[in-house]
Amino acid sequence: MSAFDRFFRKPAVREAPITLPASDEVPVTLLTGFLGSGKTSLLNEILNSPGFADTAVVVNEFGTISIDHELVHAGQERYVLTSAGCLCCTATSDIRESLFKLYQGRQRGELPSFSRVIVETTGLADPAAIVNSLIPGGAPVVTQQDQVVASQFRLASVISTLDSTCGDDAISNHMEGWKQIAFANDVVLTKSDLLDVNRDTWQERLATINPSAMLHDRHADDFSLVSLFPNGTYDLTNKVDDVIGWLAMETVVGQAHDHAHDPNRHGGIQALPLIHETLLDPRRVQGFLDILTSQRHAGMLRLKGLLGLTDDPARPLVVHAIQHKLYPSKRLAHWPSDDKRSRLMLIGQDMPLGPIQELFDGLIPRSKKKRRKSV
Amino acid sequence: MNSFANPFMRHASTPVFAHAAEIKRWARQALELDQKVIISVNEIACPQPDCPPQETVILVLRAGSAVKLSIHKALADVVEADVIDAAREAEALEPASSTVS
Repeated sequence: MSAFDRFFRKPAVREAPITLPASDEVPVTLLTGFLGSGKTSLLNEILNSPGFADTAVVVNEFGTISIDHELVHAGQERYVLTSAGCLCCTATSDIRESLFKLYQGRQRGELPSFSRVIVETTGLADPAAIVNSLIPGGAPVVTQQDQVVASQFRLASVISTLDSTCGDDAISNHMEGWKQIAFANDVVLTKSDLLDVNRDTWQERLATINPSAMLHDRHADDFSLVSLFPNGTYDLTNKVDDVIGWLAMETVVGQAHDHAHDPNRHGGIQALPLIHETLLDPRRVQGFLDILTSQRHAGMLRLKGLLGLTDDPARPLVVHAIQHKLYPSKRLAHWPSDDKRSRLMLIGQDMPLGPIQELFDGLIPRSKKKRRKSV
Repeated sequence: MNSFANPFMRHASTPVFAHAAEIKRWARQALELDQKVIISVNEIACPQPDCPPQETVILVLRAGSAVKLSIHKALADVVEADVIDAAREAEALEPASSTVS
């Protein structure tokens, strides 16, 4: 019996039982990691691998506009469900609702069969709330939806990406970054192609916060996607006391959040969603990105966006930056959906919202400024 | 080890997990707890308009029971006196450990 069992396992509250078709539980893998640590890139690598064709995906995003799901190359044969919001606050209901929708879709024949689910969390997600909602003895099973999810899905593993170029900052300065690593079975070092990475030194560092985690280098010759998806069930046995305590805290303290609060704000971190419905001037866009990422006091943690530009309207530009590193922009061959608005999401601490908004407002060609719209 | 140092970091001193360990040590001393008792430290977002945006919660876990200490500060800003005050307050409210419900 684990420490978690000793302290907090309680009988689940159930409504009248409903009859469920016999089936094997579908393994659910939680893919987490701090802002900009490479979750979506790893997810795309997984989805592009033939061995993972029967994978359903749930993508959650922080803030009121969605961009990440547009960048997941799932193809028509897979199902990507997205929910935008503050996942840290609504994790229990959101994740169960998403899995229930997958179950219903499959049962009704509306979705293709799938044999695993990957849940990509926000970069600010608290894995405790999500894990607690998916493990036996965690969040109470109250509704029939909860009952279906508990019987049809099992949490198999937690994977956390760790940016080898600035992962120290995520772990050292952000509670979420620490927790995402502490809960993981597998930690995947990303961006290790950008600098020399000493895996042993990272292993030593992780020993402090998660000695049982398997460390993988995504760019090493021996990296194997298959090894990230072992058969089995997520196990708390070898987790540090902090993990047990955080799960207990979910049970004891509960969701100490007001779900009606601003989904663009999470503690001291705020998301600034920006939208233009007209095409943008490419030179002004570049200037905007340069200014934003060169300002030492902008407080930006993450920027990502999909922008329509006047020079090639049919091919949107994907932009992203992590803290103050602006990564090379990339043109997509076409818009990934019917939504052809330019969307930019900034996430940061104490950002100067007014000046940023004004700069963004100035990105449209002068003749079209009257048609601008921002949220 | 990559020693990349972000010049924009707001808390450039103690790592959050190291400061959490310090808070646990202070709580253990203040409540006179032995090493077998699990203490957990967390920082949660507080949406209440009159509160600071972050709250530090310390949970003391004994078999079948838990005591919660709340400090209305971000974890990085918590000092030993805050933990002592919170422990006194919790002891006053809960002379015996509270049962988890």
